[in-house]
Amino acid sequence: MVKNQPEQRGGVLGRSAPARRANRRLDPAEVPRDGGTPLVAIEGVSKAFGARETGLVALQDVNLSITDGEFISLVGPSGCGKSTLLKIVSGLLPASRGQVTLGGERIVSPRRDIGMMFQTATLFPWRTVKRNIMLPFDIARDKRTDREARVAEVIQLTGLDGFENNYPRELSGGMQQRVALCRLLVSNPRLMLLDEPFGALDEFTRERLNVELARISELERKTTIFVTHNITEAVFLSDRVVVMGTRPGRVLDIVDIELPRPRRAGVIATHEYSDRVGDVRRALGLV
Amino acid sequence: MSAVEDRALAPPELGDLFASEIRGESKLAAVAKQVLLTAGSAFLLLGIWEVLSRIDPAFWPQVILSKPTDIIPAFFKAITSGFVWENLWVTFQETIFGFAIGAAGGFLFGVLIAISRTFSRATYPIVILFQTTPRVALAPVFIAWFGFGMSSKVALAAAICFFPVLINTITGLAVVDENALLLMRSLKASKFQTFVHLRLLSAMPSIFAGLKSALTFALIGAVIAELLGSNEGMGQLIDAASFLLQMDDVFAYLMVLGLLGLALFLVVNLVEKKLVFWHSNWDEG
Ligand SMILES: Nc1ncnc2c1ncn2[C@@H]1O[C@H](COP(=O)(O)OP(=O)(O)OP(=O)(O)O)[C@@H](O)[C@H]1O
Ligand SMILES: [Mg+2]
Repeated sequence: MVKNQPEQRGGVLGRSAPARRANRRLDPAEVPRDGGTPLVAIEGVSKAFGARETGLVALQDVNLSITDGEFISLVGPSGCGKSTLLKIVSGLLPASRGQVTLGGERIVSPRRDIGMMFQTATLFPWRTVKRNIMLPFDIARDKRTDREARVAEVIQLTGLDGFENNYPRELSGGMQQRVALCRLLVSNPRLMLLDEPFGALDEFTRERLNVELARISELERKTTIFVTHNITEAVFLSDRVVVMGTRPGRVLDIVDIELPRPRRAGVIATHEYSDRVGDVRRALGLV
Repeated sequence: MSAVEDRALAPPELGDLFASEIRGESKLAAVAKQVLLTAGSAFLLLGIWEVLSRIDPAFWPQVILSKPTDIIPAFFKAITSGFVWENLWVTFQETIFGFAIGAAGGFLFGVLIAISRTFSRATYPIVILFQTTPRVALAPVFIAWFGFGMSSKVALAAAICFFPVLINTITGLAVVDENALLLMRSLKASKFQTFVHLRLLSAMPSIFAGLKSALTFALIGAVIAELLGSNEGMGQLIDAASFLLQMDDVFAYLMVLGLLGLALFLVVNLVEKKLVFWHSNWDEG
C-alpha cells in the first residue's frame, strides 16, 4: 500500500512515513506526534576519496529521509559505501557534497545523541562489563545520580545480568556485542548507527541477537540505521531496506518491509517475508 | 574464549575458572612442574661443570675455572657475611635509583613524543642516534663526571634504562585500535580523555615489557660502572676477588647478583600482573 502512494517529494525522499510508523507502533496511543517530519535527512550526499581526478567516488548523490523510530537497513556489496555513509551520518567523516541533518540541525561533527556500534565490540579490556557500559557517562562527565540504575536497566534489557563484574575477555563474542549494544543504549541516543554489528558472529548467535535487537528496538523505539551484508537479517529487522550498488556507491532501490510487529522469529516462515527477501535480492541484481 | 552465550547455563563466577581451565592443569601442578624442571636442568648443568673441572687438572687450570662443589660453600659464606650484604645493598640502591630515574624519564619523554608532533620532530632523530650508540661506553664518562661514588652508577643505570622504556612507550601509545579511537571520537572525547581512558591503558603491556628489560639493564649498568671504578658494590667485590684469582668468590658473587636480578624481575612481573591484569599473557607467568 505504501508503494502505491504518490511520493511526496520525488525520488527517495518523503516516503509515506506515518503509515509505516503506525504499522510499527503496537500501542495506538503511541501513534505519530509530528506528522512524519523526518528525524534524519540525508540530502544529496556524495563522498570522494583522494585527488579529484584519480579519486574514488565512494558515494554519489545519496538521498534518504528517516522518520523518528524507523529502523532502516543498508545492504549492498562490499565497497558500496555503507560504512562511509554511516560515518558521514555520525559526523565522524565530512561529506564532499550534500548534508545530513538530525532534527533539522546539520551534522558537522560527532554528537552525543548519536550512538555507534561496530563489527568488533571494541570494549576496553581493563573495564568490567558495567564500567564499559558507563564509558559514555564518564566521557560526558555526566554525574547524574541514576547512572547505576540506567546501566542496570540496559543490562537487564540485553540479558547480561549476572555478568556486570566480568571482564570482556571472559565473555563470548555474542556477549561482548551485547555489552557494546548496552554501551550504545545507555545514553539513550536519538539515533543509533550499527555497522555490521553481528557480522563477525556465528549464524546461531547472530539469529538470536537479531531477534533480541528487534525486541529491543521495538521496546525503546530508537531510530536506527543498520548496515549488513545479510539480506534476510535486513528484512527481518527493518521498516525499510535501502539497497546500495557499487562503483560509484549509490542507492539503487528502497524496499518497504511491512511485516507485522513485534517481529518474532516465526515471521521468517511467512510468504510475505520471503517475498520481501526476493525484492531485495532483485534490487541487488542477484536474481 | 569460552562461550558463555547461554547465560542460563553459565553461573556468574564462571569467568574466574577460565584461566586454569584453559591450561588444563591445576595451578599447584604447574608450579611443581616448573620448579622440578628448572632444578633438574640446573643440576645437570652443574654436574657437567663439576665433571669438566675434574677431568685433568693440568689441562683445566682449577684455580681459574673453579668448580661447583667449591662455589656452593663460597656462596653460603657470601650470603652469611655482613660485608656482602652491605655491598649488595649499595648495588641494589644504585639499580633502583637508576631504574626509577631512567624509566620515569623514558616514560615522560615517550609520552611527549607521542602526543606532540613538534616535540617528536625536534627530538626523535636525536633519540634514535643515541639509541644506536652503546650506552655502556658512557661508563668512563659518568665516572669522570660523578666520581667513584654511587651517583656515577645511578647515572649509567638510568642512561641504559631510559631507551627501552622510551621506545616501548612510544610504540605502545602509537598502536591503538582504530575502532576504539573512532568510538572515543563518536563519544566526543577530548584528546586528554582519549589519552587517559584509552591510549595510556592500551599502551600498558608494551610499557611494562620496556620496564622489565629496563630493570635488568639497570642492574647491568650499575655493575658495569662498579667494575670500572668504585670503592663499593657487588661489581667492586667481583673485581677485587678476580684480581686475587679467588674464582670461587667471583662465582659466588655472580650468583648473588643473579638472584638479585631474578628477585627484581619477579617484583616487576607481580606489579605487571596486578596493573595490567587484562593483558593476554597474564596467566602464563
Ligand atoms: N579513508 C578512506 N580512504 C580512501 N578510500 C576509502 C576510505 N574509506 C573507504 N574508502 C573506500 O570507499 C569505498 C567504500 O568503502 P566502505 O567502507 O564505505 O564500503 P562498505 O560498503 O562499508 O564495504 P564493506 O561491506 O566491505 O564494509 C571503498 O572502495 C573503500 O576502499
Ligand atoms: Mg563497511
